[in-house]
Amino acid sequence: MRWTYWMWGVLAVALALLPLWPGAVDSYAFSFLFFVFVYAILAQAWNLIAGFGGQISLGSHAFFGLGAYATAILWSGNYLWGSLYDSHPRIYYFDPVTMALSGLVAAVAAALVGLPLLSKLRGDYFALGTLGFGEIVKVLFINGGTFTGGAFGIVAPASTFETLLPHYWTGLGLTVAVAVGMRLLMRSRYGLALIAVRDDEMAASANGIDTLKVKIAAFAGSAFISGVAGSLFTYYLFHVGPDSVFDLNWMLLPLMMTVVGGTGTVMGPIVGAFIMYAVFDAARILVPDYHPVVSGVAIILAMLFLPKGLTRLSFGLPGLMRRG
Amino acid sequence: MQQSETILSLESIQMRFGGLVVLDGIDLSVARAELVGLIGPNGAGKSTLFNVMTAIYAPTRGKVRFLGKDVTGVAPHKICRLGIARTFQLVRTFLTMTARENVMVGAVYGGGGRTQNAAQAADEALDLVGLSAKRAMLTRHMTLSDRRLLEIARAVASSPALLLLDEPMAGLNPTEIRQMVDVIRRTRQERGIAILWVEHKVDAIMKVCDRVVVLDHGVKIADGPPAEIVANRKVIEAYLGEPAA
Repeated sequence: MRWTYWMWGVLAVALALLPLWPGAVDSYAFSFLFFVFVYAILAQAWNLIAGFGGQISLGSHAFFGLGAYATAILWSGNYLWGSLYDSHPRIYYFDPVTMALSGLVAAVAAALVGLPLLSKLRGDYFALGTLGFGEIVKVLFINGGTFTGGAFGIVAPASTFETLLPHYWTGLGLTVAVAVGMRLLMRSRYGLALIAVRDDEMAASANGIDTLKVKIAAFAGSAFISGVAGSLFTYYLFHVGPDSVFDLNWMLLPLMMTVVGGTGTVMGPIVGAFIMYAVFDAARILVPDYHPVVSGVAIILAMLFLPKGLTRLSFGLPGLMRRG
Repeated sequence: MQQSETILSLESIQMRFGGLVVLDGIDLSVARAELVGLIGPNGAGKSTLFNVMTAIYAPTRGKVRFLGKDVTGVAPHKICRLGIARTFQLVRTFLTMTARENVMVGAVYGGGGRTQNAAQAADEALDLVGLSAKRAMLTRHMTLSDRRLLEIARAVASSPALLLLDEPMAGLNPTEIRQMVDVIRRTRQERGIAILWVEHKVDAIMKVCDRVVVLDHGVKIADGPPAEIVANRKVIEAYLGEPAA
């Protein structure tokens, strides 16, 4: 089974070196892969709370949006390193402190809302509660006045846009970091508790696990990852608005990608993000008027023939199965 | 004497759901390393009493004391960490985990600091119930009997002072029942764990237990050694009905 991890490592290094290929610099592939990375990170976030934790959240777009707004506000308001900005505009791209704070804002929001939701609601009721939370956050940001820019949002003070490669590398690095982190997490004692809560909450608490604490931690961790993805997206678009970053698709597409790739597996969300985004993108280019139909059919086919996801195919890679 | 030290005591437990009194004035105690059977006809209140002890329900009146502490209504995960482990009547194992991972949950989280080496505690617990050979098997693929044994191993791995068994014989065939009785005996003898055992199969209880408590309609009607219980007139009436006058 070891070789599969080597294979993923080699793939990551190859992707990192890809832009150095002569003539590859302006390829559309980097824009495509950048979006695959954003979706893969979001899919990992959803998989943490829903796939491993068993708590179906329909509010992950709210945490993506919170992260995106946090970055835009910190960036445009010069709240960090204000004096450096004039002479070193570049420091604002992918500033790790800003990105971490964006994730943290989302995580704190998740912990606060998770306390009542996760202690009182289960299953479909929890799902609806998180969906409601997403709508509340969106309305709050529309009515946030100058702080959030209202219905228009915030334009970040970006410099001239020259190349997508820094975005590409940052996205790749984060995707790899999240996957490695996820694997380490699921092999730790915390991962054991999370699976126990998913499999049987009553048995988990009867065996000494503080189930509420475990669920809130997973919800906050998932929100942190979503928030970082939102931050990455702000650095790409330079603009955040309630209709763009709080769009339901930021929750629905990663959800589908995770299910197609393999819920509750470490590599499933990445495989699903790549395949589904390729299908969406190809449909958009080839049959622009009907592209949602193609995506819909692809999802139905995947559910009919791969109900457990691509990474659990019987001829698939055994090392990717389960919590591998 | 070590044997007589009481670790669990229920003091006049009353449990009512609206106007229905399910348990009334139950006093019960379990000593260190004692094996106590709890029997009674259907609807006697055995399961309710079990749920009171494990804090699934908070009693309407009365107290549960464990090792000198009042543990009435304390959260289930804290009850386990204090040293009361349990199994479930409808088996509850973690189906996507292997047998050993299941037991590791009890060893890592249930011990409340008592377990020094979780991996070793898990292996010893699996060994005690005879599931060492199936340690890598997914629980989903195990038989009911093995899952019941696994629940006991998971509970034992948390090094409890008291183990509550909720009908561990339900659904087992005669061979599996003998195996289960053997495991229960060894758990008490080799680990010194006190056991309170709720059971429908009265004959198994009578053979193994030091003491038997009988409930009927929410009231304790008998409490004593098996030989005394089988001759108790109230107990016979509870099970068979009053003799024709």
